[in-house]
Amino acid sequence: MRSLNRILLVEDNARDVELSLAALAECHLANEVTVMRDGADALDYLFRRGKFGDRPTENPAVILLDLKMPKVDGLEVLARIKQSPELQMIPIVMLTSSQEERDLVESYKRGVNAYIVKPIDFDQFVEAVKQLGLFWAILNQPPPGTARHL
Amino acid sequence: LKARLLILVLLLLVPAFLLMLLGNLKRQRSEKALAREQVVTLSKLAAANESYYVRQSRQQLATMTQFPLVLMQDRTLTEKGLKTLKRLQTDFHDFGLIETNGIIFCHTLGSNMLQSANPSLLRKVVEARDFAGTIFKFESTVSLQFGYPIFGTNGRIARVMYASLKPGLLSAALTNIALPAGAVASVFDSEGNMLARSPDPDQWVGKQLASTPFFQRILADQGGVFEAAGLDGVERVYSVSTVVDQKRPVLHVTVGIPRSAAFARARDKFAGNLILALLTVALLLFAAWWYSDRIFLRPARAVVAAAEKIAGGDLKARTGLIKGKTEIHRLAASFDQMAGSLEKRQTELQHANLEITSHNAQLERRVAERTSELQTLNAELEAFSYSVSHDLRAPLRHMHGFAQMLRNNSKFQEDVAVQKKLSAIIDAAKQMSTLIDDLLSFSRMSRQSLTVGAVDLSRLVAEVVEEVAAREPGRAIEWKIELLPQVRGDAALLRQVWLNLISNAVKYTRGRNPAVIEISVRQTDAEAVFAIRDNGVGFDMEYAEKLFGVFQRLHHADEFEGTGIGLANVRRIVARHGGRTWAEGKTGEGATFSFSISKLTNPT
Repeated sequence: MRSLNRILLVEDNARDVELSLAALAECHLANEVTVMRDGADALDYLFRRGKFGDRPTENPAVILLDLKMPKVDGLEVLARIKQSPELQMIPIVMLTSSQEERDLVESYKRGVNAYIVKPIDFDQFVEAVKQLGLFWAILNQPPPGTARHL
Repeated sequence: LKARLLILVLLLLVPAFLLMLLGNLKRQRSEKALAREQVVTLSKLAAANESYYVRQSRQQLATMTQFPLVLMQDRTLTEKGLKTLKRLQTDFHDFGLIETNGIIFCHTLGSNMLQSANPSLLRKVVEARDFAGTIFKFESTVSLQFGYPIFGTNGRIARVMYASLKPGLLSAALTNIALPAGAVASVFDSEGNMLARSPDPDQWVGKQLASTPFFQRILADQGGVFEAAGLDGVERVYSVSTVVDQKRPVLHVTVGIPRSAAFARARDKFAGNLILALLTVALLLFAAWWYSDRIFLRPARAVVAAAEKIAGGDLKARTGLIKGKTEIHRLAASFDQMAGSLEKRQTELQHANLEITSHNAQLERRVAERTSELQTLNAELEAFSYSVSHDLRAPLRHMHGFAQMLRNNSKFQEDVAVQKKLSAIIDAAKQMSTLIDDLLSFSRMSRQSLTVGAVDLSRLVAEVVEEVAAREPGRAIEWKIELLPQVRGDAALLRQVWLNLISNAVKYTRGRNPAVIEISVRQTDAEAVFAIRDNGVGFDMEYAEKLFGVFQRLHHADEFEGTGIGLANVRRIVARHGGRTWAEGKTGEGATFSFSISKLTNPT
């Protein structure tokens, strides 16, 4: 059983996953990433249910959450996490294509920690992810029970 | 109304009254003439009665003085003779003989009753040497004494024989005449002594009235008729008839009828007429009242009552006056007709209202349907723009990202052709992203609700100018900005308007040195009109309206950047502020973009 990665990326689009990983690779964080392809899987993973029932107990240092996903969308996942006493301390960053204000407002209402509109420009995206990773995964003092090893 | 009608009737009666008065005056005059005739007749009658006694006395005395006994010296015998004569004469009270020295020789009233004779009688008889009469008062009795001279053989008056009429005889003679009520008959002697009167003889007879105006009047008006106040102060019409003996006036007989009595008949008649007239008037007034009430006021009241009822909302009210031909009845009939049509109209109105209500309900239903359709559509539109912003952007981002990754890949670093094509892909993706953003902002612009407040345009424009100028720091731009007013509107959207227009002005003056940008305002009561004028490239007026269309551009993108959404946004925002947008320009000579903001309508 491999140890838990510090970054959980929840993203349904394979190309976005690739681009995100490419961006994270630029800051040498690619190996720290666990990818979930939809909200339901993400929740199962976090709550250690179903096929993830045997994952280690530590939690990721940060969750990068896509807003628009099939089955359970990002806002729903966000709500579930923030309602859970064990998980609510995990910082969550919304990664989204949407500039719609209501998504932003809704996310902050449900306790999101950061909200990033994925820029069209890849270079800008890389820059944003870099900043993000630096802050949440490296500099930020994580809550107890967070994966720490590198 | 009724009062006026009554006044009209009274006015009509005035001439009738005048005629009546005139008639009365005439009648009065004729009555007066009649009264005069009557009084003259009466006085003549009275005088005739009285003159009988005068003539009777003269004859008696003339006869008796022929008897030898009147000159006899034997008093007892003479007295006896006179007493016998007196018994034969019922009219006389006393006979007697007077010596020329004034001593009574003998008389018939018994001894010692009379010592001295009536001196005025003796004097009169002696003076006249003929029959004469005078009043004789003795104690309480008043009588008329007549004297007759007895001539001696020498032709001189030896004695005077007298005869006294029974007291009250003359008055009684007067009462024989049927006098009208209030009438007075009097007998005076020529010296002004009242000898008889009817009525109230006791009060008047025996009085010396020579000096009274009334007696003076009698003397002046002998045989005439006059109107005067009598001795008792009552106004009468008097007639005087004088009883004459041997051309000497002996008695004045007057009869007076009171004026009131004289005209009583006329007055009675007048009063009768008056009462009749008053009765007529009363009858007329009552008739007028009744008529006006029945024919005019009652229908009028009926009309008023019906009108009030109708005003009160009871459209079924009618006057009910169908019969009758007066104007008021016709009015009432017209009124009923009107009320009928009013009611009909009301019914129609109610029907119409019902219809309208049902129409409205239908309409509301339809509006509700439309609204829900619209809401659905809106929701769909929102979902659409959501997916546009989300889903459309994702592939773009992928295109851009992978192209960028390729370009960064060391394998293709040296290949210029590949680098150029990758750059084209990257630029196209960027451009499309901008287009999507603009489209979304444009659609948001229309749906987003306004936050209306006071907006200080001078400040807003200054900020925008600063912001825009900062983007192109190398440019020489001459700004001419007027003082701008405060307006009501959405500050963020108005900022967008100014940002677009000022950016455009800056953009299209690129290459002008210096660029001149003027911002001015012109105000009316209804609106404020703003103009942004530049000395840039301008445009062909033929395409002026195209400027404000979505994605409509007059310049090539490689000449001036932009998606062509800015002016469309301006037009939309201005329209939502109740204003208009227009542009003027000439190719190569600059452009002026104008917009107005309504001061009257609220932004929606």
